[in-house]
Amino acid sequence: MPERSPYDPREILADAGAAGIGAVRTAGGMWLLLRRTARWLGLAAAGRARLPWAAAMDQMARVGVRSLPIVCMVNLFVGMILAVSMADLLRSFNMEPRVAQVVAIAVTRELAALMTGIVMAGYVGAAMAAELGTMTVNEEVMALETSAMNPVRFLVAPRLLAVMAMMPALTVVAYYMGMAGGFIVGTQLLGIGSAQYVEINNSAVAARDVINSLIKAEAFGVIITVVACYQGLTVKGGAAGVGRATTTAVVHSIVLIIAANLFFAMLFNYVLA
Amino acid sequence: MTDAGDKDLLISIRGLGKSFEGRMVLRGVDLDLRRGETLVVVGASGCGKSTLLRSIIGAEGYEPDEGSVKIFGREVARLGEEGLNEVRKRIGVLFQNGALYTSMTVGENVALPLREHSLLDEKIISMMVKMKLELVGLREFEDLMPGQLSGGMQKRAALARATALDPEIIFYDEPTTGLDPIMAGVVIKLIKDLKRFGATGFVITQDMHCAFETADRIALLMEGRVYHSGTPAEFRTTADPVVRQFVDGAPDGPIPLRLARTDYTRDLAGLSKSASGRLRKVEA
Repeated sequence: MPERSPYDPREILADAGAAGIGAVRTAGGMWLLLRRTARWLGLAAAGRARLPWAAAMDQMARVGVRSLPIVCMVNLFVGMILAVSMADLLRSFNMEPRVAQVVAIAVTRELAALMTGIVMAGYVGAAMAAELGTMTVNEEVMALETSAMNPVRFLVAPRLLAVMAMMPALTVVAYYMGMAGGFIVGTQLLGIGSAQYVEINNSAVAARDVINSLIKAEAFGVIITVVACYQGLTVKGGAAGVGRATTTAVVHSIVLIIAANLFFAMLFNYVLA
Repeated sequence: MTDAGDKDLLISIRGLGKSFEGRMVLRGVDLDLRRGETLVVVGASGCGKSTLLRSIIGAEGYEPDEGSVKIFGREVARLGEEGLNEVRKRIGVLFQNGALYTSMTVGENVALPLREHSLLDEKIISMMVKMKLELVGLREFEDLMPGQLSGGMQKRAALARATALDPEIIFYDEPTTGLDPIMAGVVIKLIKDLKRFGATGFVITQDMHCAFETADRIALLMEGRVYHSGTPAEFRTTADPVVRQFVDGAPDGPIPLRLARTDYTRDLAGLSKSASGRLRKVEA
């Protein structure tokens, strides 16, 4: 039997099928990991299992404190970009002070949570996948298992807890930074009075938007942690494998975060409107 | 169904077969481990030693395809999570590179199993950590991180961790590989010490010196089966050419140097493909 050319339609179909199976396997694996982690968190909440609290606190410091500067910067810039790019349009309607409203709504409704999620996927997700991946390659994960210590309870649960504690906190910071960015541009560049800016800004912030975006932030946190931990724990092939897992973790979580954001946008704006 | 009648038969393996993505690694391994003895499984790299070890300790992804693996009289594949954890509290594993938890100090590494699986007071745990570390000669290194230790020291610290709960069986994965002769000698001495204290040992290694020094019984694993098993004395004196070649480390002998199964000339002429041993039929 002669070897088929890789461009043979049957080969292409076979490759597509293999990719499909891989995607389903990854999705299934992540779902299982999420369920196992949720089970351990549930058991811990019911007082029937002990979580490594010290590790969770350590993770919170890493996840929250260390990513604070970068989250601040990114969101400040996003707020400034919004103000600058909306100014022209609003000026033509003679409604320049409304920049404050545009920035406040955009930030609280979408951008603070989304940008924080994406920044954290690149920062925390990558670090997590690389760390767990290295532990897997070093047989540390197997060592945990063979010492009757469940790696999900020991490694994944504290990380999920830490990210879920920190994501809303960082998102709240992101609101303020985004609004501050708008404020700087609005008052310094567009000549809006600072009292007027703050007043319009404050009246544009709605409790519902804030709650919705905090829910989104939690969901993004779950995505980042589960994707990164899954990739880290399933590393194969040494150092090169760790590199691949890290890249895959970042790519997967950014795509999933944006997809989830679309889902929430539809949910909050149509289904629950 | 169970070997409950024989309490001293700690591990019993019958007809164990395992393959990965179509490649047969184990093809029917039979082995027993009795209480108090040290069994050394030797074999060339890639012969399935690590797979065998991982199947016994119930590692994920190493469930047997066929045959049975029993530890403490219970079938590993049917233990479930709880059962596996019960078994795992009674064993200790020394991994090839130590596998110390890199985010914890040496002392915390040793303390972790005690903190997790015993109700001991923190004071007593701290004493036990010192005792375990003293046993491997690392008492003063308690507060260092694993990255600050040499390879041999990491392995000794890992041994202290593996023995933290005074396990009934200690598994050693290539205990002397990658160590200088003196450090290898130290590890061999530690294995013998632990045996004197009553631990049962299961060693996998390719180092015949280590095997002769530590073993009560040696099993030679080849092509996924136990080719020969016997006492170190038997291994030293046997006339079996395969065992001889392995023991003497001779490049010439019944174990071939060249592992390709396809015909060399045809392969060069592009007539066959040797990838993963698959032979493509050539059209006439």
